[in-house]
Amino acid sequence: MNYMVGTILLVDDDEMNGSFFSSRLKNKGFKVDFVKNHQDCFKALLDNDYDLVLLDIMMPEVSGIEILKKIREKKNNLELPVIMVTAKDEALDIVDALKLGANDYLVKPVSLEIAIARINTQIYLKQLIRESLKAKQVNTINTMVVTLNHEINNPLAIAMGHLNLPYEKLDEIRVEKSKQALTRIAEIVKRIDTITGGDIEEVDYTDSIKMYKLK
Amino acid sequence: MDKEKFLGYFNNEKELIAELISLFKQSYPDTFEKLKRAIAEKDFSNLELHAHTLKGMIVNFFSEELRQAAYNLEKMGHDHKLDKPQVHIDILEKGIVELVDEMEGLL
Repeated sequence: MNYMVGTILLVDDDEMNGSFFSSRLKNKGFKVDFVKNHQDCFKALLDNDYDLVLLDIMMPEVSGIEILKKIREKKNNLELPVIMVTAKDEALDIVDALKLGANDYLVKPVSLEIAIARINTQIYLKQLIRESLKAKQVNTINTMVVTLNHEINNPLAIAMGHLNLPYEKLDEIRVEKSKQALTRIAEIVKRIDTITGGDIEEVDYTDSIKMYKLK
Repeated sequence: MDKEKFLGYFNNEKELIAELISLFKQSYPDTFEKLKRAIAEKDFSNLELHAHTLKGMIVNFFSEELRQAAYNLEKMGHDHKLDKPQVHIDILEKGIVELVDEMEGLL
């Protein structure tokens, strides 16, 4: 597992720990934005597409737990992993944070090796889920193509069967059956047209991944 | 301060340790002043916050005595109850100066 190019938002009111942690992560190849309060945190989240948030729990004005709640109103723990950073005597806060959708936690002083392992795990899981969603989209489209192809082939074979007969053998019944088969094909083509021409609904599934569903 | 633990934790990387010491020297005086002011003003919320911040800085240096002093003050802020805070302030005031000297001696 090697996802050392992740972009991280680090939120910590403590200049010393924030700068130090940020600089160590940058040295290991991560792109890190370090902010010190909730306003800058929310602005950064609006302006950027982060792979992960490292969030200190105890901060003035708005705590890490409150920030986490706000984040989870917009993005679930698969869309944006959040790792809480905390002191070792804040076990209760950690339990709250995990219940509210934090993905994991780190205890200060933060061990860089442990931090990187946990960050990479979350980024890796996020990527796996994105890839799995993309694969499901492709499968759905393939299934649609196979189904429609089958639906067209049947009436087409009927129409071709009748119309390939010598002209003198074409009676009214055969012409009518051919007409019905061609009408069926026309209906299917119309369905394809409506699917490709606006009857597909594009919905947000995870950030930057769209899910397509038939209306 | 547990020197062995500290050096092991940062893989004995002198550059990294120098950066940490420099950041600590820049940051702690302001936090410590805010902490003392919060005690004087019986501002419990800020006492809890600044004691917590100071504790977060100190844990990097594996000094259990200083961490405990900061934690005791944080708890006083949390519980809205001052119980001889000056004892802990004295431990921190003296201990941090010694800590900085000790750390600089490692470089």
